[in-house]
This record gives sequence, structure tokens and C-alpha cells, in this order.
Amino acid sequence: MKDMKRLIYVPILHARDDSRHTASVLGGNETDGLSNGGMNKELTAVDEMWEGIAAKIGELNLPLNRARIYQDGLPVCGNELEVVTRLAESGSPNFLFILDLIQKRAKLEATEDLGLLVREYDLLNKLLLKNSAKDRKIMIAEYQSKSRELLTMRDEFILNRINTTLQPGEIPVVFMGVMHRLDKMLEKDFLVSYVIYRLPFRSIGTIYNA
Amino acid sequence: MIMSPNSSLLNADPNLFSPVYLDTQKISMEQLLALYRFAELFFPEVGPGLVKTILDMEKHCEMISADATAQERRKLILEMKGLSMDIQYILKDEGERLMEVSVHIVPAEVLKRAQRRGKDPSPYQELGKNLDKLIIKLIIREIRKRFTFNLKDNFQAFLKSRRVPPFISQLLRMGWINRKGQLLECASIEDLLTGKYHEQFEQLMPRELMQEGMHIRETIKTCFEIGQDNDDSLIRNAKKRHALLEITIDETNRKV
Repeated sequence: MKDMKRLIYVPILHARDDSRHTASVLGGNETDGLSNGGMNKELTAVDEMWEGIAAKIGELNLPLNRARIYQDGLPVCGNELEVVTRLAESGSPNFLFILDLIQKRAKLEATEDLGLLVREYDLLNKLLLKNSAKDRKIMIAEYQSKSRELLTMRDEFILNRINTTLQPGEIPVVFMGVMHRLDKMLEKDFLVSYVIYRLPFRSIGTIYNA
Repeated sequence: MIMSPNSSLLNADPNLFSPVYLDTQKISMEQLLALYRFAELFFPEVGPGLVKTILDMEKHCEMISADATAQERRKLILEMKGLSMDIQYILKDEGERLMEVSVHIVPAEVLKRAQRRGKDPSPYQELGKNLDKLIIKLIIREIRKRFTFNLKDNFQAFLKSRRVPPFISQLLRMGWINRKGQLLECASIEDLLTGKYHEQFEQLMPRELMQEGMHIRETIKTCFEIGQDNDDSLIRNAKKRHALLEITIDETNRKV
């Protein structure tokens, strides 16, 4: 029987304003109708989730100098570390944690196809710029259909990245949004261990509704 | 008990209505909400509507619509003649039965009826809303149970003291609590925590209890939000994703 390599898979929920940054297309003060109190509670819950994930990964006692990180949304561009640093500086707990792992000697790997991410961005632009309810309905349907196609293409690209960049003896640590089906593709070649942090109930809604 | 096609799930005793068996005493709100979200995550197209559709197929066949040509339907009906499906969904917590859904479907019949009615999503949506309300109702019941449990010791201590505080006497007179210190059905948790009785309640109760109460209140709010339109949630997610990608693309362009 083939000796399966171990892979750590962290399904992540992109919490609202994960980057603590507001996209330009939305205008400067967009808060989705949340009060400051609501935003703070939500941010606390997001931080709590990432603290939980960090603790779970800590419990695994991974040899971090042999860990290679693959991150949802991180393109092959030559300045991956700068992208992660900038997103961490913007306050994203996801990227702050990645930066922390890199500082502890984990290797960062360029994960995604930039062209596909730009296509996703353009699709999101179209979706968010349409204002009338009728247009938005049409755009939502279009977005759902096209983003599914894109997601499959992205997953295939990431799978190929993992297979071609992973060095012998290294442990891949994959941070991927919950909508991805990459884990199913990886099961053929890897023994996938999931890292899931279960939030206390009062925080679940905040994250899940984000 | 078998429900008639027109009866509302909300009017039925959640412990008894068929084909769903649900032990509300054993299942917790965390479990319910986690399962609800689980279904949304893994069946993004149909979400928790998958169960609703299956139940509709069994009990409310005329509400189902199928997007297939008349020719394809005739062919499928012929090919599925005599076939039946028995679906049994049992949810257990360490072997203890929490929920059970047993459904018997005759696919050819489902398709025949769907063909007669054509596309009419409104009754289906109504059933869906009812199921959402039912889940929320169960969660609220659980939340209330927990809050009542937390308050009981404090109310009891006041009722046993020599000088019962006037506010406690008032709650007794209003029928909001009983002599055992239990919070009764007509009591408004909202009024005690943030409404018209907030000040008196806060003076009497320990700070931790007030905080716990606020958490419970947030939870109730969350439960209601979960039942809201999925489009809103999609747009919110899209905004978050857009913000992240904007920074990423901007940073990659710097190098270029």
C-alpha cells in the first residue's frame, strides 16, 4: 500500500472585513449596516476563531521548519511575502497568523493563479457595482454560476502547485475557504488532517453570518 | 401522527409531527445551529432546503416543480415505474437518538405530480419559511430554558430572604416568576435585560448573570438573522472577498 503523506487542512471562513479594510468600490464608510458595537463584537469573534486555530495548530507540535504554507487568495507573483505582510498590516488575523508561522521558520508558497484571482475580482466588481434590486438578482445568478467555475479552476491550479512545490519530508499546511473542494482532490495523494476550531455558540452566528 | 397536506409545521407539536421526530429536550441549540450551517456549507445550492424538498416530495408532491421537458419526464416516469425510495435520517449523540426523519418516496409519482402543476415556488417557499421558524422557535425555547435555569437560584434566594425586594414582589404579582423562583412563560427576557425593568433587574442581579443574559439575547438575535435572505449574506461575503483581493492585486501590481 502506498505510504500516504500527511497534509494539514484548515478550512477558513472569510469573516467580514477580515482585512479590517474597506474595498474602494464600496465607499469609505461602508459597514454593512452594523453598529460600532456590532462590528467590535464581530471582530472579537473573528480574533477568537483565529486564536483557536492557532492553539489547535500549536497542539499538533508540527516541525515548522518543515511546514510549507498554502494560502487561499495568495497568488504566484514573486512578492508573496509582501502581499502577506500588507494584508497582516491591514489587520487580517488570517495573515497575521501566517506571518507568525513564517517567523517561526515555516515556508510560504505562492498558491493561486493571479489571472484567476483577477477574474474573480472583476466578477465581484460587477456584482457589487450593480445597484438596482433587479440588476443585483441577475448579477447574483451570474456570479454564482461563474464563481463556481472559477473555484474549480482555482482548486485544480492549487492542487498542481502543492504537488509540484512540496519538497520531500515537508508537511503542507493548507488554509482554504470553506467553499473550496480542494480537500477532496487532495485525499487521493495525502492523508488529510483537518484543523477546525469550534467557536462558542454566541460567536457562531457572528462568524457564520459575516 | 401524519400531517395533512395543508397543516402548518408550526401548529404541530414538534415532538410528534410526522415524519420528523425531534427530541427537543436532548438536542442543544449549538447542535441545531451547527447542523443548520453544516447543511448550508455542503449543499450551497439547496442548503437546508434539501430536507424541505424531500419532505415535500413525500407529503406535498403537488408543490414540487421539475425543470425537465415533457418528453424527458414521460421517459423518466416509465423507467422509474415501480421504484420507491426509503430514506431514513437518524441523528444520534453518542448513541442517543436526537432526531429521526423517515421518508418514503415514489419517484415516478413525484414527477407525475410535478408535471401537472408546473413551476410555482410560492407554496414551497412558504413551507421553507415555516421550517425556519420552527427551528428558530426550538432554539429560542432552549435559550429561554438556560436563562431561566440561571436566574432560578437568585430569585429563590430573594424569595427566601426576610425582606423580599419590592421588584421581586412585583414580578410575583405580575406572574413573571413563581414562588419557586422560576421565570414563567409570560415573562419578557428582553424587558428585564434592556427594556423597562432593566434598572431594577440590574440592581438586584450579579453582573455575570447580566452578561450571560446579554449573550443569550445576542444569540436570539443571531437566530433570527440566520433565517434571513441568503442574497444579503452572499453580498456581505462578496464585499469581504473583494476587500482582500483588492489589497492583494494592488500589491502584486506594485512589483510589476
